Formats: sequence, C-alpha cells, structure tokens
Amino acid sequence: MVRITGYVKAALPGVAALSFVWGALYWWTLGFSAFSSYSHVALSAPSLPNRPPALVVTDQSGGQLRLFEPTGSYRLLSFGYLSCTGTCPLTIADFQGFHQSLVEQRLTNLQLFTITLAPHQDLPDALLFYWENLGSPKNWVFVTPGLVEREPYWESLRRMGMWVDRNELGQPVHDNRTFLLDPQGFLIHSFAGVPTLERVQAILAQEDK
Amino acid sequence: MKGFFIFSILTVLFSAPPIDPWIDHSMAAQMVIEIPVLILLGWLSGSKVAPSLTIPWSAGTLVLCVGLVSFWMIPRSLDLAVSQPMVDLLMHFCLWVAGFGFAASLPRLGVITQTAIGIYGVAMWATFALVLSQTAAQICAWFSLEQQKFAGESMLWFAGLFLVFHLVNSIRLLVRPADPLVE
Repeated sequence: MVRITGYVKAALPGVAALSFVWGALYWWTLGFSAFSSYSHVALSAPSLPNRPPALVVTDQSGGQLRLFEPTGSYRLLSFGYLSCTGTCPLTIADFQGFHQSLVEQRLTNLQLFTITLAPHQDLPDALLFYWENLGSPKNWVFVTPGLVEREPYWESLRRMGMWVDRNELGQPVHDNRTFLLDPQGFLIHSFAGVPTLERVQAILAQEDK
Repeated sequence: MKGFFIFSILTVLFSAPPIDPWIDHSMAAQMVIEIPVLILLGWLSGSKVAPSLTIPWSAGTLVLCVGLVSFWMIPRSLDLAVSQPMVDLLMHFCLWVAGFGFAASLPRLGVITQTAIGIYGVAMWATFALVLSQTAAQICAWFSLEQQKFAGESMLWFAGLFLVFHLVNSIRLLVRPADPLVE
C-alpha cells in the first residue's frame, strides 16, 4: 500500500502537468479542431443558418442594397480588394469560372457578389472599371460598404467566420472563404475557397426540399 | 553563472532588431532558425545553472516544456506572434524557458527518457515539415503558400540533421558512465 502511494505521489506532478498542457491546447484549438487562424474564426462564428448584422453596400454602378435582407434569390459572396496580390486574383478567376458555368446552364436564381475589404481604396468607380474589364457580367456585382470604419466592418465579417486582419503596410490579409445566402438573407453555408456550381446546386436542391 | 548571463544576453540580442524583424519576414527562417536557436539558447543558459538547481518534479517540468514548444508550433499561435510584437516577445521568452526547462529536467530523467524525447521531437518536427510542404491550403495566415512550402522543405532538411545529431548524442549518452544527476 505504501509502495502504491509512493508511485501515485511520484506520478502526480507529471500527470498534473500533462492534464494542464492537454487542457490548454484543447482550449486554444477549440477542441483540437481549429489549428489555424482561419479555422479558429470560422469555428467561432455562430452556427448556420443565421442572419448576419445588416450591411448596406453600394454596387459598381452606384446602386445601394441591403446585403442580408430578403431579395428572392440565392447569393454567393466572396471577399477581396482590387490591389490584392495574394489569393484575390485566384478567387476572382474561380468566380469567373463559376459565373461562366451559371451562364452556360442559364441559371438565374443565384447572384454573385464580390465585396471589397478595402472600402477606402476600392471606390465604386474603381469597382466599375474592374467589372467592365471582366466583361460586365450580368449577375455578378462588385460592392463596397462605403467609407465605413474598417475595424468594425472587419469585425462584422469575423463574426460571419471570415478571418481578416491588416499587415504592416495597412493592407488587408484575409481568408478566401465564400458564403451562400438564401433568398431570405440567411447565411446558410460557408465554403473554404470558391465552390463548384455542382456543389452549390446540391446544397440548393437540399434547401428546396 | 557567467555562462548563464552570456547566453541570456545572446537571447536578448537575438530577440531584438535587426535580427528578429529580419527573421519574422520569412516563415522558413522562423521555423528553422528562430525556434531551434531560442530553445538551444535556453538549453545553454539552463545547462550552466541547472546542476546547482533543485528541480523536484523533472517529469512535470519536461511535460510543461514539451507543451510550451507544441503551443508555439500551432499555426494560430505563430500567426499571433508574427502580427503582434508583444506576442512575439512572449514566444521568444517561452521558447527560451522551454530550453531552460529541458536542460534542467532531461539530464535528471535518464538516457532512455532523453532518447525517447529526442525521437519524439524529431518526429514532431518532421511531421510538421511534411504538413507544411505537402498541404495545398495556406496554414499560416501571414505567410504565402510558397513561403509555407519552402519552410516545410527547409524543415525536412533540418529534420535529417536533427536525426543524425540525435543518433550521435544518444550513442554518446549510452556509452558514457552513469550521470549522478539522474533521479
């Protein structure tokens, strides 16, 4: 008995340290499921479906719309900014491919949105120029929230599950997540990157059921 | 004690401009230079004073040190260290403390434990290197995919070096007379 008590006493500090380390890492990674900044913000967001806070945006033609209000059609949202040299050009290229598939299949119940993360740089004129260079795609709009304060705007995106921060030059650094909204303006799906049209159609088919 | 101060001062110099900002710009430099050098400096500082210290819980200290290093290997932690100078400083301190803790605890735990921890360390390092070099997705938000792949490949080369060092060190530990520090 004395021997067993001795073993337990000897093992106790190691077991306590192990429990502490295990618990700390478990907490930090949200149960060993969020190791990157992207996944941590995505998993910290409220569960889907949910309605994000109201966001009034201006499109490339100067028209205003409320992004998370009912519009009667599904919306696919991506984020970026015009002078971005990171993942934005790839996301735009993927969105172009997605838009092309929409046109080929003559689908009109899905609208594409590219939302700027640098509202003070990407004014509607610049968005219009970029949009025209893409061939003025009909159901794809480039929008800006206007000259809002950047940090509260980004914080609202983080609450959606979109990681965004600024680098030492003050430029946005961000995740390339894409979000699907239903016709009522509820956020119903979040994708890492731009999904294929087939994947979105499968989700919409499930929604319609 | 003199050695302790020398290595501690070297740690401060290593954590200050111009070295630290230069290292922070490259993921490969962070992974293969910053993290191992800080642990090594902590180890060297600790090895100068550890024999005179009374460490009652060597196994517990070792587990905490492994946990501390593991924490800073998590991409989210690394992202915070890159984006926030105070967190970067905290990371430097933690890694130095971990190295100090290794120096204070490992020699007391015997050759088998030292060898096992070495194998674990090399395996953990190589696994992380493979993840960084092979994953198509960006893992650390502050570094590009190219930097991530380069960091992973550099870490793989260093994993080979660490393995050779570990094997040589293990043989040296196994053939030398028993250490009076071992509990």
